[in-house]
Amino acid sequence: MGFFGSAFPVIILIPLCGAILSFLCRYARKRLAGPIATASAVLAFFTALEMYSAGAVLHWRSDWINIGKLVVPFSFTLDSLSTVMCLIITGVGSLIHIFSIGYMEEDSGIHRFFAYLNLFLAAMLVLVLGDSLPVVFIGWEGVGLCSYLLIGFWFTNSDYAKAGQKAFVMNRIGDLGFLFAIMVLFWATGSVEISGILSSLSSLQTPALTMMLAAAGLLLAATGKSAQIPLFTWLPDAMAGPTPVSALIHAATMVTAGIYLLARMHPILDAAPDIQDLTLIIAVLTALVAGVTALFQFDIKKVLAYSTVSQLGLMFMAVGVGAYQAAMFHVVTHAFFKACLFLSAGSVILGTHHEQDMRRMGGLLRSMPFTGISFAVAALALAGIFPFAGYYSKHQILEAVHSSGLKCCGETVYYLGLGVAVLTGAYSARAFCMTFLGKYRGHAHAHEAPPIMVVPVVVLAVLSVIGGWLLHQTLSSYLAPILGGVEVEKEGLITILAGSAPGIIGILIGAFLLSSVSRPSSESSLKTSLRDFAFSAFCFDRFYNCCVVEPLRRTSNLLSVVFERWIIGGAVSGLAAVTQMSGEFLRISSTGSIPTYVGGIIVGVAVLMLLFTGS
Amino acid sequence: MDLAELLTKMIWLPILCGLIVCLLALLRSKWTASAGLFAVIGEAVLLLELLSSLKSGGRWLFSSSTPLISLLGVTWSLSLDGFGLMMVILSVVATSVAAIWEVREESPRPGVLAGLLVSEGALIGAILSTDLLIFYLFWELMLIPMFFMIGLYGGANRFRAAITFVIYTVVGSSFMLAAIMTLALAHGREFGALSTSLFELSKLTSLSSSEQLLIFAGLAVGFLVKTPLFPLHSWLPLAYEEAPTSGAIVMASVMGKIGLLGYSRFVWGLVPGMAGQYASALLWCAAIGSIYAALVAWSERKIIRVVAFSSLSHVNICALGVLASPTLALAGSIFQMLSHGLVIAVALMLCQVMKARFGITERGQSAGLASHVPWFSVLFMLMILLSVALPPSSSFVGEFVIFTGLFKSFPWHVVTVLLSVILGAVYMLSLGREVLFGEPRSEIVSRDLSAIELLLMLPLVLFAVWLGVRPGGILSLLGYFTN
Repeated sequence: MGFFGSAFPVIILIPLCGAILSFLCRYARKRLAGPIATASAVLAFFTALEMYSAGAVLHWRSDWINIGKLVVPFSFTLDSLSTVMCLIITGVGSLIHIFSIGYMEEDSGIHRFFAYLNLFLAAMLVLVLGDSLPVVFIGWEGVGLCSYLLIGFWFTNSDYAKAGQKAFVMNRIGDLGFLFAIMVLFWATGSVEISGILSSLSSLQTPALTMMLAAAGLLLAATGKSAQIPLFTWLPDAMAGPTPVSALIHAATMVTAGIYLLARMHPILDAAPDIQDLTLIIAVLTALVAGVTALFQFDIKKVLAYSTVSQLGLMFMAVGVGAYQAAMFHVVTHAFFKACLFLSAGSVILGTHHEQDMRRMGGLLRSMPFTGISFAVAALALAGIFPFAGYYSKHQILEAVHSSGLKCCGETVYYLGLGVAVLTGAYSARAFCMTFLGKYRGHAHAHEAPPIMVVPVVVLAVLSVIGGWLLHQTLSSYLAPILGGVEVEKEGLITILAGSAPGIIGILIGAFLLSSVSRPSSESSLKTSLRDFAFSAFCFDRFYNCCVVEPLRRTSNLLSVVFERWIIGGAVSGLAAVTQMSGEFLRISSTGSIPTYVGGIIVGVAVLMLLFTGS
Repeated sequence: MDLAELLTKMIWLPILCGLIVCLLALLRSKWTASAGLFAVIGEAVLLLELLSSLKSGGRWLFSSSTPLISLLGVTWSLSLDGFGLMMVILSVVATSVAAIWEVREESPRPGVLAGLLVSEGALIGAILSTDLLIFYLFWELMLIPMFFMIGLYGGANRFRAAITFVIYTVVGSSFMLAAIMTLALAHGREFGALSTSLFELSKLTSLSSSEQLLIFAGLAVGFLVKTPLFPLHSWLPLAYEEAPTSGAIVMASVMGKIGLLGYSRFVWGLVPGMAGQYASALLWCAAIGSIYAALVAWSERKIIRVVAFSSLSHVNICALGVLASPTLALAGSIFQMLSHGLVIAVALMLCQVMKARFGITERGQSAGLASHVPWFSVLFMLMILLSVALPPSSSFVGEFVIFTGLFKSFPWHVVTVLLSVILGAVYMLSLGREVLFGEPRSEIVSRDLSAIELLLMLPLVLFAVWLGVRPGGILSLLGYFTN
């Protein structure tokens, strides 16, 4: 075990220091922030590699909150699950940092950007390394804070700031579930450490209720962070942030924290079948709703955002049937191809001079060949075509759903899962065709991104090709000690064809849809309203606004204006006026001698006492 | 130095200096500010000496008593426990910051300075006294400087604000006085001699249940009006709005919390049965109050009133642990009071900077301050994050311990209060967005925080963060309460 392994929280300190240094670049040269932050991310990646090669389970503890029965140590633990997450966070994180040097070059707030990005890495590492749940919660809230700051990075635009606030508040709702689960587990097991909790689960007094409450809390937390129904509406809005942020936080890492949490605490979920079923239902609904919505978007980032929500839904499906390692596998491959897609989209946006609407793109493959090919590869991976990365993980998930005994809704879930895979193919194909094929419909002079942006994209594209094939056997055996193993079936020609079929069908549908869209035809009003319904993500936002936000706002207004201002304010003014008048009146009785006052007070108190004791 | 002597000095030094400042002001001397600063520094030195000479032990870190009026059984008894120590630290910190904030002004108002010092002495006196009558006198003494600070130096509605504040608290404390007299008489009946000492009175066994109810009601109303527990709060927004900032700092950071200290020490010490019986009902008041205040804060137009209601919401959360029972949650509450005291002081100072320098008192129009004044914006953002209890800040630790401590006995209360945590994020972030973000407005061209302002606020913020990261030292002082 090397230098880094012996004191492994050092991996958290590196990006933390990087964040501080980047911020201080404000006072030196702002451009230095990029290289500094990138260096710290890369250094953290090498530390993670070192930890991986050391291969041991490590613990690190220090005192934090310690009072009475409540003992919350500052503890970290490194096992195979957290190693995988660390590698993804720092690895993909480093590539995105490199890309950002090019992407953010012109921005005057570049030091802030890199400081937040590094801070995010640190918080995310706390999240995956933390052993006591409150420490995980530090990371959990920390990534939420960075997400808030980065979504609203261009804060002079009020809408962006609003999107950041929405993300924070929706996540807050989930966070309460997390706190609730911590409290339930603390009073049930007497510990807040994951290791302690999981080891004492067998000796609970009321296991069924405890497990259900704790699992429900954790599920709520996960739906917030991982953008599932009912808390998913913040993620599409979060696209207001700079594109590298969308790639790192809102695709590759932070949004998978919910799946990580559920996988980490899986014995609790296993013991709460009702909540597992609920997870499955939420997952299927989310994956379908987001998949359909993605098909109707025109903003290239919105397509990717809804696609992320849909893919997270697939991972939740795996969690719902107890196939945690399949879920984690999809987390890994999804990090590769979705980061690649987002970064390519970033290159496209920059190359077309801040155009995000795919209706004003097209034919970009010629002017941006590297970006285009990378996007195509990653889109194929997303669609789950053999031999790209997404094929392996998606196939594992669907197989797991198929063979899970289908406890929830019979075969339906499996077929709905296949439907999600078809949708994935369709929107991927649509996005690629609209952006890169056909004729250019915009007015800007599109150009390929500089090498510093192309290289990370190409690396991620390569990973999207070989990542699944490389990892599909090693990862599950590596994670087996934590998540339990599964048998990985041999790949025959039939399975390969069958596994790729939904994606291929989807791609065909996508291409067909596109050709039908390009022909303007007379549309019935029903069709238009259906399309609007799908475009606005089944009107969840509108529903929340009129059923939750508005009533609360009204109540708040009522309380503050009517109640506080008029009623209480009026009563108080009345009281003050009466006092003032009686003061004028009583001036006659103010003799100025202290004994009179004291006497008055004593008489008054005596009367009060009489009143009290008499009753 | 003898500890009793040291504590006595801590009480009288600021009061004397306050009177001297008054005198100097009447003589139109230019030494008022220096005299005020002398008291601030002297008090800080005394506090350091106190901290260095304390030894931890059982509940009471220190206790002493000398007879004062033997006929009435009144004693000069000073005691210090973990709760008291936190509050003493908070009083010294808050008044020092407030006094320096006042002196920083171009034309410091000697009346405010004197008022701050006198109320500091009164606060510390009330914190340390374990004789109920002496406690009562200091409790009333706190009122006088605050009345004058609001009434003489407040805003446009100062008279109304001062009168409301006084009526509320005087009515509250007359109930309290009645309760104290009942206790003293009951002691006379049982042991043949009057007494007002907490330790003597806690030996009472012959209280009838109606007497207990009277005592409980009297003390509780007196303490909780000052806190203020919902729905006894309507003096608070007005007082925040009208008081001079330095006065508001002392009022918001410390004064309300003395009510909670009194509740925990005297109500739970003297009539624990009643306190236990009514705990659930009072907890509902606090839980609903925290939500109510958060909802009101969301729609308030004036920024200072948003801060006032946010403070009300947080103070009601602090009250939870005190009202519940002397357990884990109480330790969390005490910790949270310290944390809230630091954060609210910063919030009030930032409000005044906004009002005086940028001319912003109302919400609703994006001010885009983040483009103009970076340091101010950083501090404002940190204040927001501390206020929404982001871990690992001190407010997170406090709330976490309170909620966890309460959860076993009062799960529904906790779930209710958790909702106010969401609302807290809503109104705080909305405020931050409107103040900091959006298109920069060209008419606001102003200078950023001055060095002295930064030196006052930044340490408070950093202290709050540090407390959250390393809460061990403070929590170990509060360990007694969890047994």
